[in-house]
Amino acid sequence: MAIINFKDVWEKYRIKFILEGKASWEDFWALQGINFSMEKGQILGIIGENGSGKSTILRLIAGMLKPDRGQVEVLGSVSGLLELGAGFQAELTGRENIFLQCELFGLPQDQLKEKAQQIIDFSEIGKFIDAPVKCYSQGMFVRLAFAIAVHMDSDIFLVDDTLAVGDEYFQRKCIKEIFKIKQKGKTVVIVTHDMAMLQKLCARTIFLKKGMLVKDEETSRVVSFYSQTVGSPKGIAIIEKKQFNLVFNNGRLLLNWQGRLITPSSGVFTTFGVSDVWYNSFQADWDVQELPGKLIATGRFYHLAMAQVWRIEVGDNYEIKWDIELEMEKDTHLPEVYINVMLSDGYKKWFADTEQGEFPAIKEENKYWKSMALKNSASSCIGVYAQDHLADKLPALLFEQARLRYHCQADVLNSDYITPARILQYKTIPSANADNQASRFICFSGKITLDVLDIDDYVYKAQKEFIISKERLKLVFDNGRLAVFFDNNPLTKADHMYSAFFIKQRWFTSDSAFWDLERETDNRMVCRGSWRNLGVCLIWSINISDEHSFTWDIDLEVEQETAIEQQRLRCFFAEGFKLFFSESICERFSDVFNDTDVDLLKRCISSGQVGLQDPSGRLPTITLSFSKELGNFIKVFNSDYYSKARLLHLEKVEPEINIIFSPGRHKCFKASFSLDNNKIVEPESSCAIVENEDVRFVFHKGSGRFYKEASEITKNMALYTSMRLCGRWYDSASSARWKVVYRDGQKIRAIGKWLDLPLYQQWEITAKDRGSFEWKVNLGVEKEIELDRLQANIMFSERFSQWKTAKDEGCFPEFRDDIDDDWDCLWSGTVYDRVIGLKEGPAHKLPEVSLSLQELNPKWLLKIINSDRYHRGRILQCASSLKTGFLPGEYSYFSGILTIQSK
Amino acid sequence: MSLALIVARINKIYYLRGTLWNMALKQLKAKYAGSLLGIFWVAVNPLLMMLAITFVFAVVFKTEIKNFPLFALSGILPWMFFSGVLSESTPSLLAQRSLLHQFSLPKEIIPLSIALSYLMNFLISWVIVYPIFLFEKPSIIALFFLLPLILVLTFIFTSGVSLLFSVINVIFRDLEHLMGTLLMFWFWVTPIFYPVEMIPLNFRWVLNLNPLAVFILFYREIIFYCRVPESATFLGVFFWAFFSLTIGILVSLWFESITLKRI
Repeated sequence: MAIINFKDVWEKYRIKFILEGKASWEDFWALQGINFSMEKGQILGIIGENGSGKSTILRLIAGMLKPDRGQVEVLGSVSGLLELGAGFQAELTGRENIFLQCELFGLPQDQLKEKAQQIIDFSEIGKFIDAPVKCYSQGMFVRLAFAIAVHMDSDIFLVDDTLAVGDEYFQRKCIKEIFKIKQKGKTVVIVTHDMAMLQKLCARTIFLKKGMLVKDEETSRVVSFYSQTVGSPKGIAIIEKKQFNLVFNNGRLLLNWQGRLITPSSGVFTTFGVSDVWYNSFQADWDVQELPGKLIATGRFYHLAMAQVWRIEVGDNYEIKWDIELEMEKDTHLPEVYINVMLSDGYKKWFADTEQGEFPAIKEENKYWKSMALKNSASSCIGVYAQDHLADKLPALLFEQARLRYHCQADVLNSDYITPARILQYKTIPSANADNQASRFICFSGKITLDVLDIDDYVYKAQKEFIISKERLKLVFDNGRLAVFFDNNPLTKADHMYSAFFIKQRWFTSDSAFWDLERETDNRMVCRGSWRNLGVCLIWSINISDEHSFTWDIDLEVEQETAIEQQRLRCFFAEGFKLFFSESICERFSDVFNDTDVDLLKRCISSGQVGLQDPSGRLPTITLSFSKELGNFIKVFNSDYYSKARLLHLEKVEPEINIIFSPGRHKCFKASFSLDNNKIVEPESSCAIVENEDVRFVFHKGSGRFYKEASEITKNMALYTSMRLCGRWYDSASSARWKVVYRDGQKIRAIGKWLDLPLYQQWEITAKDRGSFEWKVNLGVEKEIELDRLQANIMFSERFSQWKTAKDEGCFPEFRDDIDDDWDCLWSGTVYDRVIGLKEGPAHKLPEVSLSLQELNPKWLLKIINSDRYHRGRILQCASSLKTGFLPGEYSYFSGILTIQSK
Repeated sequence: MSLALIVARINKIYYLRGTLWNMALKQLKAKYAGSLLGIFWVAVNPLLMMLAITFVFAVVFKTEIKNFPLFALSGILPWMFFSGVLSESTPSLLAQRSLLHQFSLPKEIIPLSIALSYLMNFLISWVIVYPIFLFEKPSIIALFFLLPLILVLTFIFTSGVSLLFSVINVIFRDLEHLMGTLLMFWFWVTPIFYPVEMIPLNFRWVLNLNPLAVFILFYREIIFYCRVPESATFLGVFFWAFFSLTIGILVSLWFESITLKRI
């Protein structure tokens, strides 16, 4: 038996318009042909835009209005909360008003007093109950009105949107009360804009639009329809496929599966912070362009001068491709962007690349979002699925990140109690190498896949594409980067391994290319990365030969003549590698990482092999062999604090004539990696020492350090010689193999044999009187060779801040980045100037040092040099900058005395 | 509009009779609260009016009617009831519109409560005034049983008119401004301070048009002249009472959809 029945109800208002003194009347149809009925004990929700006729329906039920056409049948008494403050006599007190309302409702006298007390207690107004109602705040009004209405014990209870005026405590109280009423079997009709309240209370909802009843169904479907159609129309676009609907509504994406909303009303949105203020994508002004199966939406944040462009493409197999591009003004700081996919809390289980888990239930105490704490936040794929009985209503969903232009951290969260949901989240971190000149960045590129039938299978397959493996060795290609795993231990980290080349004044890294993968077999992969507007293509051929080794060939294909000045291959290895070695050296990495910069340890190792070793044995020793024919050499770095990795940097520098690449394919790098758990290289601790008063000189494999009273006054390569050929430096400390042929406490003689050049050097270091050392170098050439630079250097600590010569003095400035190979030469003079020196400046503990030449090679120069930011040293140098050709023979190279003034 | 609707509405009003009673009482109290004479004003007002009219017509105009003060008083009392109810109930729907925000409060309750409160007023004034008539002509006690009858009929008639006017006023708000003049006109046209005989025969038709006339005549017959009223008068009061109530209810319900919006 229907308790409320609307039969073809039409209601109009006659509104008087007054324009410039002239009055005109217009009929406004508030309701047009409304038909619905309600049974006893139901709770009905009514939603719609403002002015769609919701309050009119309530008034009709209340009897405050009579329909102009049609019939309204209401069985039973009605009470409720319609207008704020309506029915209150302003002059009377709250208590008196209670009595008045009760009487007007028709409550019998004997019940009045008791009822009044119940109402007073419920409303929690306190002593103001005895004050005239005209002094009440809005919140007090609504509390009193609701208290009265709820205690009328009427058959039908109406609530208009005025509940929104109350605070959270009050609203929760009201909701509880409404539930109680429902349990008593009363009927309730609620008008609200709060979707969460609606879903909690009402099983059935009516949607009104411009006076017409558009939907009358179960709440979740109506809410999904509402969120689709309400909003600024130019920011709304809908893409429909068979079982599935995607609605873009002004910065939110809403997904409908079989007519039901699987993203709660907040949908899928992005958030970012600028100067401590958080902005959500739905706060921007959106404009949508619709194309078949696609939409391109531009959202502008005017007060930020930033725009977000979303490109969404829905494929036939329930795949949604989503690219987010940020348009920013130049030189603005890129923010971290959070991409949130909010999903219905019907999903119970989640998984990431390698982990999985269950969502705990969301309880009232949960006020904030709670992370599921993924162990591996670099997951490229996260997803959720529902349990069995919900499985057909909530399809399994995957969220993958497809392009890694910037780092992306994944997270899976549980939301708070107010809007219960599950959240899949990616956070993009603008990388330190962001290019400040461009103004458009693709900050995220992802894919959402629905209705994935066999999750594990899918994830496995998706990953398989990019993985080649053999037994314990696994290589993962991730959009322009290569990662190495052995026994599932990652050997590479941070940026992993990638290549880059220098064209048109810019570095192009492999992760900015568009990649095409061909996984030929389980052991072989060929990847083509192209840049359309450059006409350049990188081809990586990766081949696993056995479980301990693989090769990586990198070729460059150009369409037209292009000038490519430099190329590099960078490999970031795990922190666990503590030692590095090559054929002639074995050294430790420092345990401390520089805050902002990488730390250059070895400038050039060209012998063809470099290896990293983990002394604890957990990680296998990895040896990188590279081809010398292609002119590659390696730099060894300790990375910065951000990446905390060991960096092997393979470079290819073209001599001037080879910069221009002709159209075709060119080989660039040929590297082969081999892993060996058993290979151990011991750092040799042998060195030779000369002591002179309180100064000690330690010679070790081609470099010599000076210590004054146990602290080192030299730095880095300290005392060394260096020669340059074809753009590569061959330092005594890294490119030669040394043997100490004579030592006593006062004198050392050593011979260093260069591994790639047909020459050797003989050094003699002798302690002279009063804290000075004599250093003599002879160069022996085996084959004809032409060298660009010849140097004998002593690099001192940066604490020396002043330099002086016989006639000049000066201070060292800051270290610069943008200097060439020869570093920052502050003073240069002929050999006839003889003496150059350094001192620390006023006060302090460092002695003065000075270098005086003994043998004078006329074409050589004396120089005082400030090194670059990597080395951070002050150099006293005797060098030749002319190309010098040598025929086989022995030549004197350098002879000088270094005096260290003891105090 | 069906009979069922009318019956439902009457039932509703009956259901709310307690409320109706309370409202009427409150209005009564409110009227005289804080005044010195208080409830005695119900009698004092008509007496004062009687004095004024007597002075004008008996002293100034030297009317020939014997015992003019009582003659006038017998008509003044019901008139004051009628005019009071009408003048207050015509704007009542608009004035007390806040009450209408009460759910399912039939709007008729408002003019009815006014009528009821004036009725109480009316009754109390009779309690004070009837003894005066009795003192003058003890024989009227024989017709005392007709007094309650006419009182009820007057009430019914006045309710009907007040319902009608209150609804009309919502649509044509000018009515409340007209009430002053209208009532004054009505006063002169009704034979309150003059007997019917004084009206020239060719104007007697005016009496037929004026529903209030028969009521006033009825009162005069039973209190002043001490005569049983003619059958025409009897028919007249019954007819007009129920006719006006019917019209009032019908109009009130028929125009409800418009009035509720205009309020």
